[in-house]
Amino acid sequence: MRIAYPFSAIVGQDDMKLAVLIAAIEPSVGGVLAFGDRGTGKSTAVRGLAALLPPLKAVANCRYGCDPDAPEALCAECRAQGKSARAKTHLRPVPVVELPLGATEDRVLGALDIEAALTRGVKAFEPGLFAKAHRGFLYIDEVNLLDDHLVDVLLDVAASGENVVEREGLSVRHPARFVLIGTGNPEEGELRPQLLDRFGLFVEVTTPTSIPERVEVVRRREAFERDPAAFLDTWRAADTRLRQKVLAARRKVAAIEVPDDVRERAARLCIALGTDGLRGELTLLRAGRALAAFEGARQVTAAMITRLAPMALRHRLRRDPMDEAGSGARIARALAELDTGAEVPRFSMGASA
Amino acid sequence: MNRLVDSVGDWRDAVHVLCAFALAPEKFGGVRLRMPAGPARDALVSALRAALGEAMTERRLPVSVADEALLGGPDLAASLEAGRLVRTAGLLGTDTPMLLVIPMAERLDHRVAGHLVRALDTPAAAPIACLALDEGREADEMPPVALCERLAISVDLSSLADVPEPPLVPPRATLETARDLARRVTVPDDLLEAVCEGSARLGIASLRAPVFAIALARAAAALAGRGAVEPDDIAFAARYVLGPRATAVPAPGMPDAEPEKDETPPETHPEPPQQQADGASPPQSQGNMPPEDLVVTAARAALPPGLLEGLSRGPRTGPRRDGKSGASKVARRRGRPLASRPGRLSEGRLDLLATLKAAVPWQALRTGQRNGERPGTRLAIRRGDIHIRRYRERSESLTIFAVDASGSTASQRLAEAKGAVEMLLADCYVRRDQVALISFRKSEATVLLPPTRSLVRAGRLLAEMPAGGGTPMAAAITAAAGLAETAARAGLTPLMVFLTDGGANIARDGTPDRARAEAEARQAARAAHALGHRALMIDVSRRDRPFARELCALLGARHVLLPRADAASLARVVGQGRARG
Repeated sequence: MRIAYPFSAIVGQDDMKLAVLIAAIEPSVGGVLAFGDRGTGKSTAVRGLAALLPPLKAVANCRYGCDPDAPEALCAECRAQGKSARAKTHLRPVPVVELPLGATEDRVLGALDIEAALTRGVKAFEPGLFAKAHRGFLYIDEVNLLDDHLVDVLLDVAASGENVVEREGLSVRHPARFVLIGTGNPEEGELRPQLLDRFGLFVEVTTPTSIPERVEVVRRREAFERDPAAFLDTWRAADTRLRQKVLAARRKVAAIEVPDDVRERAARLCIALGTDGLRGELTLLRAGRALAAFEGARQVTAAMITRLAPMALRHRLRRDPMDEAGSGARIARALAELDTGAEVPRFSMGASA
Repeated sequence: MNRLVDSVGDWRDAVHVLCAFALAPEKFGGVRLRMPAGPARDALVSALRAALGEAMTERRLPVSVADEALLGGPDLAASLEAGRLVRTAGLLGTDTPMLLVIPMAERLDHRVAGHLVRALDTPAAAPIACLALDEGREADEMPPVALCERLAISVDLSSLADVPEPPLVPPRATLETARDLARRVTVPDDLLEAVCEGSARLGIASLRAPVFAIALARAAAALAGRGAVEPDDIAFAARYVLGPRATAVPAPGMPDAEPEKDETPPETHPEPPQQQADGASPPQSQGNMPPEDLVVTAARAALPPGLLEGLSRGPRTGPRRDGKSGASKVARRRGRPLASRPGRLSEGRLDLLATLKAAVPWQALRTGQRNGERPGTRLAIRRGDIHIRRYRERSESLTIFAVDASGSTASQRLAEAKGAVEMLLADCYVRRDQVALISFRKSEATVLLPPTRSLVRAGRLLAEMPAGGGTPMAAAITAAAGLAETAARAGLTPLMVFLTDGGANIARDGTPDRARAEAEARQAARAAHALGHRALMIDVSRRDRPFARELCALLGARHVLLPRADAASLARVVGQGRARG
């Protein structure tokens, strides 16, 4: 296993880092979609984050790595054996599973275990990538080029937290809770709007434009390549601090309150922007809670909503493919209007959904 | 004379860069070697082999490789022979350092490229590097971008005819010393900054590029026996790492000595970059040039003149018949694999694995039925188990809009035509089609937008499209047909849509001569028709011109006269054009 580049050592990319941290604290925000140029450290951020998180306690000999402390989320096998907190456990690193573009359905969903079938004549299930990604991250590079049918399956599993396989005489369901991280380059193709909406957060990752920042990226990368262990030592303290912060945030996130005025602000913002459905609003509030927990606040503030609105909402706006003005600008405008107390004009758009 | 000297210089530099790569192949991801198959390429590959020594084993990627062979899985042939399940590790699962040679890399499937990219990004115990043998001829014939991004070094010797001299690989001992040294070479801060700034000015977004460039500079310094990177090394690295990735051509901060060669006819080989004869060292006299300019200048030198043009104009296209187009459509046995389905053997290729999978669960039952036979001795396969491989040819279609932006159309209804195209673009967006945009006016047809799904770019380009000048009809037809042909080879289904008033009045050489222009347009239309792609001409002129109709007949295109073309009816017509295919 190669050493991952430390998360704290990533230069810039604040949106991307914040988005994956939020997804790690509150997985129910529903995945992150990062669009931007190649080679801007998207996958580095995901791998770094996974390496930063403490290893998971998992039921020993469980193919899905079930969490012994969450009896309601056990796989059928563990449940049948009555495993719970008493079960033997072992620690395993947080998985980061990469789903390659050309992956077949068999590999992703799981398929008939040929070995078992040929040697023992039994129908057994061979878990696929979804099972491997359980409790970790599923990373898809160029998600916009992925076959549509795979994307459908993927989003379905990501949303339900369960993989259901009904094929080749197999009927298996197993837990598959993972944080979905998709990346892509919009110049090479766009994602269907229906799919865009299913990702919780959307960030645009741009290459740093300032020369000093670029130099710093290259310099750190150089130092890392030359002596990974030493580089890791340099950043260990920062990574540890961040880990404590994430863990603390995970414990606190459920208790974070959302004051009514903040809730209303989020709702008014969504209406003003005419986002379809309620998913945007829910994501915005969930992300707000995660951010509040991360920053050690007790409740979500209006400023947090303002900060998160672009990443939670910009991919849910009704889009005119020819519209040049970015959706980010529209959100900024809507936020400004909210603050000046201007009446919200486009009520009908939101209602039509 | 000069020419010969140049190619010798290029050749030596190519050998040199391969040797530098061989010092630490795992740091570079790989090399993209763009040149036709032949003795020259063979010589370079064996030079690389010699330089690598035992550092890496060489494996060749089969042209059409199955997932199992790549990633590992049950090996059926071996399993059946051995009578028990045999698993293969797969090419990417081997535990020895490997140089993976990818023949015909420009044809590499995205599926395979995806697996390779993953292997390069997350190396297991054993490092791998790729040598992509890219035989692409045209600018858009190249290996999948995701792979190119991860191959640090790009060597383009496509203009080289034969071996100028035997490649000179330093002796093993020298290489070993250099390999040791490479780990200790230091990079001065100002040079590191120069690489970063240079890559930014060349419009390279990826930060892999500067990292790769530094690594190559370090290897080059080690190869020269130096303990610190010098400007020469940086320039050398810029040429092979940054130049091929450039998306912008900045002014190098000094008067531009080399005029852009716009008039190079497509048939001649692009001239090799300006290069001194003494090979290994790059040509710049870096007397008082700031290092970031040095980087940019070196990268510029790596760009053949044709590429400079290509950066701003999209892929170059031209008429070409290779007699093979269309074949791929008849043989419906290629494309992306789909899940196999039960079927009859006569319907296609047997999917052995899926067939066995279907049969296996029933073995206990079936062998039990056959008295006297011990279970497990033989597979009992029934007809219902047979699975047939299915492939899906990319059904994606590409709509090529060739928009007449000449003065005559402009005065009439270019605005309407633009509106219509925008509407069609929106339609393509919904259908996830690809689009390409060609504009023709004055003396030439320009590919404004090579095939893409990015409607945003298409819309922007369309809005910015200038108008005025004559109608170079022949050039437009040729450009559209060239694009269609390239797309068809990539598995897309092209549809050419010409929006024009059909009044050809500019000949190919740019002279305003209506008679010749019309004759050439007829000829171009015939040639385009022979390629067999669907076409549609939307005649936006106010009156019905017989010439436009004639052209359509020659093109095999449908002629749609839109006396009052409104965008909606236009979109409908194109929709029908697509549906007929």
